[in-house]
Amino acid sequence: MTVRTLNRVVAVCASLGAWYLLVAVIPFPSPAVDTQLKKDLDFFVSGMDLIQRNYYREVKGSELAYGALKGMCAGLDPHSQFMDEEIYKEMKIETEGAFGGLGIEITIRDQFLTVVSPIEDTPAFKAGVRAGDRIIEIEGKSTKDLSLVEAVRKLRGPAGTVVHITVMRAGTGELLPFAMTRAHIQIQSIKDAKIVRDGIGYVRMTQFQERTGRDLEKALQELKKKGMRALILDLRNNPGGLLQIAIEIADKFIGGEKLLVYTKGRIRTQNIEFKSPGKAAFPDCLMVVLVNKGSASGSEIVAGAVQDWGRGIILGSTTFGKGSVQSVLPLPDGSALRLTTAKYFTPKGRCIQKIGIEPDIAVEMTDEEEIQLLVKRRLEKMVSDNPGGKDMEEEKEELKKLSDVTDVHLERAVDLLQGLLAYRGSSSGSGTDKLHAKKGTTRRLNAL
Amino acid sequence: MRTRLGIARYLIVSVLIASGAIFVCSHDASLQAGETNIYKTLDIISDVITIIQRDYIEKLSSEKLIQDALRGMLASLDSYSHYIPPPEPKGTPAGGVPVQDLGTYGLEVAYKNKLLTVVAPIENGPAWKSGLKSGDIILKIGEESVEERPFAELVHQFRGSASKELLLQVARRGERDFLNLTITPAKIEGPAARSEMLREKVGLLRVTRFDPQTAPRVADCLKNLKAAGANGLVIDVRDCPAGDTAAAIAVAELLLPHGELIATLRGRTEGGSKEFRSQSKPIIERGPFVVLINGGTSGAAEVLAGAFHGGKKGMLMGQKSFGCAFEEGSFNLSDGSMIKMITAVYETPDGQEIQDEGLDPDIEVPIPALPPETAEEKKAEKKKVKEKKEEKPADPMVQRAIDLIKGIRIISPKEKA
Repeated sequence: MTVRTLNRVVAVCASLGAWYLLVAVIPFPSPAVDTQLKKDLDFFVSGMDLIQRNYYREVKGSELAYGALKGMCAGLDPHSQFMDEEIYKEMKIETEGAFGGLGIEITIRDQFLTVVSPIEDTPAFKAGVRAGDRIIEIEGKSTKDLSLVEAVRKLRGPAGTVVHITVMRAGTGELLPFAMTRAHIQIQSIKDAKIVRDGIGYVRMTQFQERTGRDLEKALQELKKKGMRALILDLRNNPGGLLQIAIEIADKFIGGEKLLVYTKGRIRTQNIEFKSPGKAAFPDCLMVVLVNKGSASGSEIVAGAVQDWGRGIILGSTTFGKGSVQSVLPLPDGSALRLTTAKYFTPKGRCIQKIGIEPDIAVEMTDEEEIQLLVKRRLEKMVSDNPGGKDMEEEKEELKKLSDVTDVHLERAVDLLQGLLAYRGSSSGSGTDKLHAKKGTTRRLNAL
Repeated sequence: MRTRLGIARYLIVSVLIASGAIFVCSHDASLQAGETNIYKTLDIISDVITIIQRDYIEKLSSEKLIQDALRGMLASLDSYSHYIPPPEPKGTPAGGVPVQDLGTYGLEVAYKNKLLTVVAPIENGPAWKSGLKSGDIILKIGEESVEERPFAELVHQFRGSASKELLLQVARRGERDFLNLTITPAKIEGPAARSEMLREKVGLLRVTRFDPQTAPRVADCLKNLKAAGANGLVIDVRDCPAGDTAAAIAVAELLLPHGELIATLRGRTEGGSKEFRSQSKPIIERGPFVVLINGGTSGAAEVLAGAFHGGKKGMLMGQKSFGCAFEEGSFNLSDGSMIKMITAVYETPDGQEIQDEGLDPDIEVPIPALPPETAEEKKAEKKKVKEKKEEKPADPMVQRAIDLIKGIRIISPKEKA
């Protein structure tokens, strides 16, 4: 497997999640007669009528309307968009993080539709589909000319329905037919939760989906049971997601009715302050948040709140800088609008649009290093998902080549937390009350 | 929760907008019956305008939104039709140059697989002289990347009588590095067609462009070939972009009997369709005719090749043609803006639409695959070509065409008589 193919998988994953959602009830203006709008609509009708009468082939009004809506939203900003029914459906699947399917991650490798890895406890995993299997047919039809998106669409479907695929096993070349019943698949946005060194927990979050808050809570409780006293929250390459979930996550660490983020729009109803509802679930464990230029919107909200309240240390490189909030407004024909309706500000009033969040400890990694790291992680997962697999030789070989690649951000964070744990351990030996009485550095440490 | 709020919110918008639809209904009497759908369509448009004006982070005029809507509507039709906003008080007047006018750079460009691609440069024209080739993908014009810019805007840079040098960065099949080419604009001169007697008494007519000079020049060429005793004709319109379709019809008249259908222009409006039939006596009427086409055969050249489509009057040989043969209509709107769109498309006499589809050759000659070359090999190759320049290398497609003509003569002696 080449670096390039893996790179593409990563790119696909990243591009899907870059939206944002805000829900707010907005009272309607009084239905005053807007004569200008009527005049402009009239003008629009004349143009549309002209096209329908003179264009060389017949075009449906609805086709033209969709073109018009796309054009209208294209003239706004890069985050606003008109979504036809299909795109809107995809977006909902992304936000919910759940869909009916088989539970395999696929990519196109050497022009074949190839299984990257089956997800544990899914139909594909239970049926025995393996990493590296090439999907030759779906429902009796060749996958030769299918794009990745088309293939995903064919494999997804309501839970309970059956799908037939034929795979060619890498290594042996056997053709194996599978009939699998689609099930409810949950996309995990919390990954690699583990203890990386004595008392130091690590959690990577890839998106802010509806279940991410609950899943993070569960992962953290597990780590706590394993003796976690400090946490590394990895938000690198996390493009964001739902605003509410970003707030829910910031709240877990901050609490105390503190302001987490606020939004400001052109109209007053878009000006909303989001405060911690009350007691935080993890108010006092030491914390480092890892960020990079792929950390956007939701990631920046969490990092911004943590930084402004001095709740943790931000480590890595400057974040993306997406400071706008989009609302999704469904239309009655099944399509929807995604519209930039507000800008958000960190608790201290910083607007991060195009600026991003500056890390407290800046550690730069080159693009090349970051890509190699992603490749290494992907290869490690493939090998560990497929223990003893003969066909993994190529991957193992690649891994060997990457043995020198290290996660510089993570190592710095671990070292830092180890030092801070030792420091806290020695100071807290003299009693917590005393610590509170002290000023300066100790207070800062308590806030961590 | 979210969905429910969304719907509740939407219902109110719908109520608000209903009055707008009624207004339009009573106001616009020009709408045809059976177009009840348009009210539903308008509902959505006016809903979205209302939502954007109310919720969007910036205040926007409905005028701007409507202009963007018209722009989007035309862009959704095809890559040629476009909207031209009203002229700025100081700017250039609205209008633009017709698609068929290849101007002083002498090249046709179009979108192919979402990439701005050179259909073909006119032979011996400025773009051709700069080294630009059919199939080149344009990446940059000057310093500006062509990505994400609407075709109508881009295409203007190549049209009309510009006097500025045009700097292009292009990607070419088989070349590892991007090429930087400079086109020096000039009036396109030189003969639009030339002829030559080949072996086996086969005549070759090469047409490089279609403009008002083309038909008279072709007539001269055909007279010469006839005098030389041509028995069979190869018409070469490979890499012949856009151009004047009237010239193509006039050329076809020199080859097809009186009354023969050349092409049909098909539009939807009354009087928008038109048949073109040969109205004069041809100079060379008897074939066999073989028309050479390729991916750079576009517009007028396709109309001419299309006259021979279907195998009755001749054979098409080569590769699929580009697929662009239409008439453009301009319409002024009340605010001074303009709509330009395809109002009619050309069909071959046997009823095939050329637009988008292109013409399939009766005899396909695949493009030879490019062997991977190193820079040194390429240099050596160039040197070789230079040394050999005196003896012109035989064009394999022309050779195949001669073989075919000879074969047709042998198997159909009646036709010969």
